Amino acid sequence: MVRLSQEWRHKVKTACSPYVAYGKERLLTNAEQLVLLRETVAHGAHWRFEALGHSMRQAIRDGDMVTVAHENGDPKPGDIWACRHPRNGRLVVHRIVARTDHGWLMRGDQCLTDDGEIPPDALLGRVIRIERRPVQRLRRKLAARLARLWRAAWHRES
Amino acid sequence: MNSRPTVKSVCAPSENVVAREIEGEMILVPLTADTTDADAELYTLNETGKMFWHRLDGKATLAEIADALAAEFDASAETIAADILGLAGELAKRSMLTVRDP
Repeated sequence: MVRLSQEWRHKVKTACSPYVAYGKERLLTNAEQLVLLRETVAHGAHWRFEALGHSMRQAIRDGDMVTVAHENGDPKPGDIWACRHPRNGRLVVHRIVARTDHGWLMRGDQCLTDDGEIPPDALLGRVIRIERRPVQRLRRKLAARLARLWRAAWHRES
Repeated sequence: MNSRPTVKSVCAPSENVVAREIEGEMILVPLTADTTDADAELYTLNETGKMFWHRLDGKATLAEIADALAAEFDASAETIAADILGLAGELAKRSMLTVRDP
């Protein structure tokens, strides 16, 4: 999930809020990201978001910023693409490993098995940029992890 | 460059925006920048904002939209017109609305 910030929350008068929308902060779910990524990339724009998980370590680390773009040509083995996972329907960013009769096979670099056959319409865009997570984000994640551990230890004792 | 809308303006969603309703919320993605940053540049509209957005058909003036919303909300058309002018102005400033003046 990624943070969604709305700068006009501070710009639209408070008095507007009963009648007219104003921004708010929320998190995008994986399903929301998938829909918006697909639409945005289809319009020729790029989509940049925070990657979560470890399935593509070392190429993509948890918390890295990934930019996805529309690609005219066919995917090439070795490229990293965003796709809708054929089994669970979730947005995933994995590597193309082979061409099949009806699509492509993809797999996370750290995964033991592939994702199954990905039909062409499930491929959303190619990863064109990976930015390492900023130190601040790393610290935030570390702080959150420590807080979770502390809470777990607290509950165990009480 | 979009001009500042007035109550006589006719507005419509521009080609530079992706609008998708997801789980009851309207999410707007401006496409003006080369890269859409999911961390910073998305907007959501609440229920009333969504009703405003759905009325942006490129035919009705903002005054007419305010009248229609006033029929559904407990507020005067003047109050709502002032509100939607603010919102339309913000959207137009970010190139998410086209503004046509009579």
